[in-house]
Amino acid sequence: MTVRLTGVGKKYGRTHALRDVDLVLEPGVTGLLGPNGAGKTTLLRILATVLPPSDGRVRVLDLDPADPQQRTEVRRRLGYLPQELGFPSGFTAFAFVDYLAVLKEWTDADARHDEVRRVLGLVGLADRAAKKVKSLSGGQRRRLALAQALIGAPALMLLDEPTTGLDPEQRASLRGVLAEAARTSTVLLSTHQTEDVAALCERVVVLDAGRVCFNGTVRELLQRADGCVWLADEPHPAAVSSFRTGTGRYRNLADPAPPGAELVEPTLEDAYLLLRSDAPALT
Amino acid sequence: MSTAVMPESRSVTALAKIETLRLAKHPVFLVGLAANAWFLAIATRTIDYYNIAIVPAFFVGLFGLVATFRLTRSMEKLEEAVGTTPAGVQDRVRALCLATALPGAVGLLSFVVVLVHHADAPDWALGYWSSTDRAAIFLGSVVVACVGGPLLGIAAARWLRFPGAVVVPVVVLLFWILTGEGLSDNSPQAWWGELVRLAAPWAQFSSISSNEHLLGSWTGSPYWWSAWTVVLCALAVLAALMKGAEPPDRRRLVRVGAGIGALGLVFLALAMTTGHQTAQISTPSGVQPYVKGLESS
Repeated sequence: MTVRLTGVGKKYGRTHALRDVDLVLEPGVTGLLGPNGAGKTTLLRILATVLPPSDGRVRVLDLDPADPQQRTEVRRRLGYLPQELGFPSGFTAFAFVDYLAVLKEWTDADARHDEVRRVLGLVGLADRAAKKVKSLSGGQRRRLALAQALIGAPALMLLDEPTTGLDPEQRASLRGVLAEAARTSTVLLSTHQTEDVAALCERVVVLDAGRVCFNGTVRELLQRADGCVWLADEPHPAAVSSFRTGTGRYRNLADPAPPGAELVEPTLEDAYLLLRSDAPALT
Repeated sequence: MSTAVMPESRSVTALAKIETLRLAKHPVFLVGLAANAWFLAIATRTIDYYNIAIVPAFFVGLFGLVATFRLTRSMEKLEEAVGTTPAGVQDRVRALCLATALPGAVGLLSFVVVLVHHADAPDWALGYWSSTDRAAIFLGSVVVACVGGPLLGIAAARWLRFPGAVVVPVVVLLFWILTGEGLSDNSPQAWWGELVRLAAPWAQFSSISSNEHLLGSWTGSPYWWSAWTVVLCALAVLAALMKGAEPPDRRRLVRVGAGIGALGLVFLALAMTTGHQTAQISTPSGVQPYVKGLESS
């Protein structure tokens, strides 16, 4: 067990960002899905020791982040990619990651530089190491941001939308990196990209209005949409989602499908949308 | 929450090296260094033996303030990632404070240049200050000023988070110093003028008239004043560290700050009540009372 949350809540003034969250994370990749404002980033920030919870108990890597000394120990074994990571001006890609490596106590310059080269290589930026960050594209900057989270092969990686702004090739490449990292680490991947979750994750957690509304395997979530997706010549009036496909037919998602419908294989996005349609309050 | 104090990470020294290098490459600091060298070279060819201290204090201290302010703020967009490293924001602030050793070293070199310049000074142009008095004056107004400005820049950057905030410490500092100098020049024996002048992070003890024939020397002890400026530097470090500190750390910093602040007030009182207590004007032909306005004497 890498992470255990028991009854965790977080309030900002009178707003509940998280309510009564119980969660256990084990090694491997766990996807964190949910609409905007569901509390995903708050949850990641609590686990990353940025925020203390308002209620409940958090154990990370068998340590208590509320204790300053144990918090430092958690941070020694943590890789965190915030949702928005700005870059200070004047840094090259190498110098940026090198700076973060120093902050992560890589004080031996030779070992640190080797590690910086390794993580830049992992995210496909080895040939851009000497470039100024401001000259990198948006996708390259996102990969650079991810590189700093990979320093030292941390035991726990918290990644907030790591694939935003990446093209399909870069996303495929990063999936390889994360899958490799997950062999030894616990990775919590917050994303809106259900394809990433389907491709990478063993487990998925869905948050809605600060509460966990699903916590299980990807297969279990997919099974919820079995028999709920079908093709028809017309959009279904009660469908959660209905759109005209390239073939001219409508792909409908509703529970249940009408008798005799031409069923198709559901995607994780279908299952997610169906789950969300059951939620008591969509925000 | 636990009452344990946040431990210092192993990164401070390595971070300090990087921040020192970043400061050394900072355009504002580089311009300040070049201007300091240029204007010191010019000033050492004149008979002005005291106003020369303005050069490093302004070009290294004040330019250093702007540079460290910007360096400190440069990681603002990255603060969430920095904050989740074992070193964290607090160790970065410690490292930035250590990096002020660089302007301090420049200040020390400038101090040597100023003292060498004094070697061939005529007696009247030195006023009533002995060689050790002058060493104390320039220790405070050159070396400590070169460190203190950048330290104030770090502290201000931690607390002032709005666009253009760097202007605030610069304007406050200049206003305070110029007010003190003005009050002392107009009423050289008045305690309030002396208080504003000596309480400032930078002060003069003598100043030459624009025609370079009159040297006005003010009251106070340069030794205790220099000690006061060191206290101001320590308070700037504590203020920088206090922002974002864990509650137990903050309580400890407040306690230390209160102790150092109290000590500083004792130093300031001693700076005002000891040393020369009668202002005077020196000329090549002798001395005269310094009553009001050096330029009008």
